[in-house]
Amino acid sequence: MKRHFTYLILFPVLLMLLSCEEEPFNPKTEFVQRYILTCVINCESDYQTATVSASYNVDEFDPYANTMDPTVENVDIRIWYRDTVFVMQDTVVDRLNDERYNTPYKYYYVRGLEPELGETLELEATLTDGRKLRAITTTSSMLNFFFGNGDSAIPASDGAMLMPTFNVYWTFNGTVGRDLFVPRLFIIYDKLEDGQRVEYSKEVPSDYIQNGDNYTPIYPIGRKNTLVHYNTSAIDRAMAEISEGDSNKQSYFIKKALIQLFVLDENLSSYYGSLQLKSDGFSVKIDAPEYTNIDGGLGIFGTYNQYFWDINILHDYIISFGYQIGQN
Amino acid sequence: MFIKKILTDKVFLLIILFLFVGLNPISIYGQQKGTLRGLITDSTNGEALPFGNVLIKELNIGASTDPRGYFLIPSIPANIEYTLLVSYVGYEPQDIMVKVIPDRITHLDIGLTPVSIELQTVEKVGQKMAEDNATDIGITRIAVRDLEYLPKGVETDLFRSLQYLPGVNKVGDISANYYVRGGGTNQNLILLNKAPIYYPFHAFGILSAVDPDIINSLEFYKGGFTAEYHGRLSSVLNLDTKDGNKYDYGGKASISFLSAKALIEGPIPNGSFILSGRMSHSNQIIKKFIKKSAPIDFYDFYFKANYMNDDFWKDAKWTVYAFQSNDQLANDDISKADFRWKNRVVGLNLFQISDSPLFYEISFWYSRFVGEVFPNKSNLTYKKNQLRDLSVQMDFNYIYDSKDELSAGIKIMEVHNTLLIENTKGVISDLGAFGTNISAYFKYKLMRYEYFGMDAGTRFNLTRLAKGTSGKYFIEPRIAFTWNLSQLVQLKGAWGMYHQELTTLTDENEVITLFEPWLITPNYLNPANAIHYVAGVYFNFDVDFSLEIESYYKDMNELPTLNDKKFQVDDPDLVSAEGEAYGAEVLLRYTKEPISLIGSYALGWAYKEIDNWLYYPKYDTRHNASISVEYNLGKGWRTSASWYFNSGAPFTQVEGYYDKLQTSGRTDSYGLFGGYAPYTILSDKNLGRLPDYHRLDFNISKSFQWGNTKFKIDLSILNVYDRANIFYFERDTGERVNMLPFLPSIAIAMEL
Repeated sequence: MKRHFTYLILFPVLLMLLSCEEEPFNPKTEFVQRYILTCVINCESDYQTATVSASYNVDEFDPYANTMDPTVENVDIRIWYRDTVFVMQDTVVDRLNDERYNTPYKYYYVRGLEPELGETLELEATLTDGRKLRAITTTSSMLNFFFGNGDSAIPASDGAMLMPTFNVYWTFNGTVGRDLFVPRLFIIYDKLEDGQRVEYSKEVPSDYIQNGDNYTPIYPIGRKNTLVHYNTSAIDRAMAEISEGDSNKQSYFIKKALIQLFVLDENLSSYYGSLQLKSDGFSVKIDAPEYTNIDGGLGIFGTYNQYFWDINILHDYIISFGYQIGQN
Repeated sequence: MFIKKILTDKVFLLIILFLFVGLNPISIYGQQKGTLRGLITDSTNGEALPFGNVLIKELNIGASTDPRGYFLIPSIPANIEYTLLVSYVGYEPQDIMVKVIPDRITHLDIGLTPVSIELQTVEKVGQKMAEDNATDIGITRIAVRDLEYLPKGVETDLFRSLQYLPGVNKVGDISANYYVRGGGTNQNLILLNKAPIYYPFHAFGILSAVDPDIINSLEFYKGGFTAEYHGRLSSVLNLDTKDGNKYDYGGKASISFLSAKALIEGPIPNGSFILSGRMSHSNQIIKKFIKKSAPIDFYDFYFKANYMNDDFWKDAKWTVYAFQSNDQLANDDISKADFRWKNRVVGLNLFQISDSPLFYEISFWYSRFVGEVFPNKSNLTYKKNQLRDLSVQMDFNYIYDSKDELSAGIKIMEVHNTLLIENTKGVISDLGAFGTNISAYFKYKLMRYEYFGMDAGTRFNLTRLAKGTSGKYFIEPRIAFTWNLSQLVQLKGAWGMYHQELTTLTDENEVITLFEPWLITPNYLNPANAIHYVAGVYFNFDVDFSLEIESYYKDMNELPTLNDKKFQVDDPDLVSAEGEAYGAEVLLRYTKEPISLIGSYALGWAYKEIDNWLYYPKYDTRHNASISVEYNLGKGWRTSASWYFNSGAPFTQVEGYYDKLQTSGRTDSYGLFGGYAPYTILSDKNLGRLPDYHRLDFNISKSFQWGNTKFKIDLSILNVYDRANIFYFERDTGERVNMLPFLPSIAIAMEL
């Protein structure tokens, strides 16, 4: 009995002695240089841009510690569209924000490339060491597109009373396929500054979360369906925020609302979808999937179209905020 | 693959037929022989004592009791008085003089008296003899009282106790969920009185939802399980609940840092009942586990009543039971989502013995799981998962004079599955399905030879749960054997094919998961299937000292796996994966009052493969070991210590960073994208390894009686030496998030 008891005491003591201090642990593996090509084609424009950068490493885990501009220069970038090859040129502009990188912003551009719907584009980027990055994408396959069947004015009403939501619908002809819609709603207004009217826009969220005195906007995310709802209360709040802190409401001229709708092609849809990570606040996700269609590297080569629709804002509604009615 | 080709279903069926017809001539009772049947119970409350041993001293033959406390020894020379030795851990052994009537079944009701807390020195008789040729490779049988004195942390937990066993892995301290021999958590079948419970966990999985106070025994099959079980690829945990005190009313109440619970039991006319309930009262301890505040509340309750009246139905036992568990995570902050999940099981069993050595049981149950996500104003979407399982099952077991057994059964399982997900279209769609599985099994248990035992059978699935699919039926042949090379050494082996049609949408990248919905494997995938190959050598050095060495190989195919590359709404949620696991396990037991020692070691490999990409799943830890020592100090004092070790679990390393184009920052510009931000480049999935895990837990308890009330005070310390075991690291910050620190806890129980 006594011997057993001695063993019982010795057992945990022995294990405690065996246990060591916290082991050094490095969650990083050997750094491998990768190249990232980013080229998002705006099909409503004939001016297209691209960037090529290299991956980098930092001593700790704060990537902002890297202040060396990772942009890769002297890359030969060509885009094949129908029977034409477009060769991109490189250029630099000053950065709006040079807190991290204090070198000019370098990118590649091409003029005259304005792809139409349902067309395939091929891209090849050749780095100075001969390494190639390649990608293919196809523009949205829609044949035509129009807004309709939604509310025609802000705020939405049934003639007698205000509706709780302002609804925007759109219609397309053709096969949507794997395209994605990303809607945005803006209020366009002028503000009187030094006697001059300066145009601004205010993006309207679909809803706000109120937490005490704080309001957090929720913007609509990408969707496959052809409608979006904006809470009337959110539009009210966005209207009020235009002049928040400014007692001189009369210096604001509300002109109109504007719906901007992006239609993303399949590759850009997948890329956009991979950015829309959702967390429930408790689940702990340790890995995240990444989408790329760049063969030989990372990044994205995709296209989008965009459509605009003006929406009237009722005069009484504008005046109720103390604003003036603007001129379109 | 070679074995798979040779052992086709048809060949297997021929073997079964041969065994049934060739080896078993029609059994007619010998004229001077009879059968001894018995029910062993606790004399103080009538509760059945499972897995006990009986031995006829003069004949040197014996048997073990089944989970219901029954044993049966056939073909005993009649009209001779024998000494029946009956033993059970924690009870005074009995020598009973018995004479068997020729050509009849002689039934004995045997009540054993528990030894006092202070003594508990038990002579184990007959154990070795009773289990000599049992085909029980990979099976662990535990009477719940054996769990009571293990370090329990916050509360005694049935599922956490399994994590001591070699071949059973866990991922982190937080969850009582477990991985068996390279299989996923959704490949474990958990049965409560034969009815499956689909998510039996409270509070992120910290605690199992089944209160151990209601459990009488558990059987745990790590693999190679025989034909009576189906529907999962990896393991079976079979929980049998208590009947309740048949002689007197009693109650029990206890409180821990996490929950409070109460239990009442007592007799009813021709039967007994038991009712228990448990509810959480504090979230403080949960914060220790998940490192953040979680406003979670839970409760569970269980009710069971049984009825035995020969005037109503001779030799039958009727049981009705109900179980419910409910968890709710309700945030005050509407920017966060709320969660709710619950289980409900209602069942009715009829267990029938007869004048012949035939047992049969008919079971009905309704088991329902519901999980819901209420997004409030978070960026989540509404989700609801419901699985309703309505089943009837009939099992027959016939024991021949030769001791051979024939078992057969049929099960009809109807599953309604709902999975409502609000997709990015803003509409709620139902990914659920409805299906019926009709299956039947038979198996023959060759027990006539002392040196050899075999259990061979097959299950036929006549329909698939997923409709509109080809290959609607499939066969699952299985075989297990035991070969006694000598008194000391046994060889054991098992082989079997297994299918699984229900799966969960489990995100392998999550280490804490709140919504893990069940669904019928969709039509576009075949049912998951596996083949188990198990072999082992068992050394029985002494009644108190044994060593088990097992090795296994598990080939898994068509595993439904969450599609990591679902970037589009219409991409499939699940893709098919292949899996492979193999390894070896050692289990050493030494139990001689006042000390009990269990040591285990497992060496294992697990792989998964998707799209020709092979990786280690997160539960692939190469080495696992544990040592558990329990010591009876006497006078009601008991103490125990357990030490666990596992080598580092896989994780995905950081390879570097790049500046990635991001969506618009809503800065009132009209652009779709809003500039670049750093993004982490990950290395190949799970190629890195976390540091080794080890932890020492300690427990000391004191039981005493005050008047008619028994008290037990229990002090546990988790992670005695405050080992900083890593749980995961925050990729964005490099912060290391560790598991449980040094954590003392106390629980007080009172029993009337």
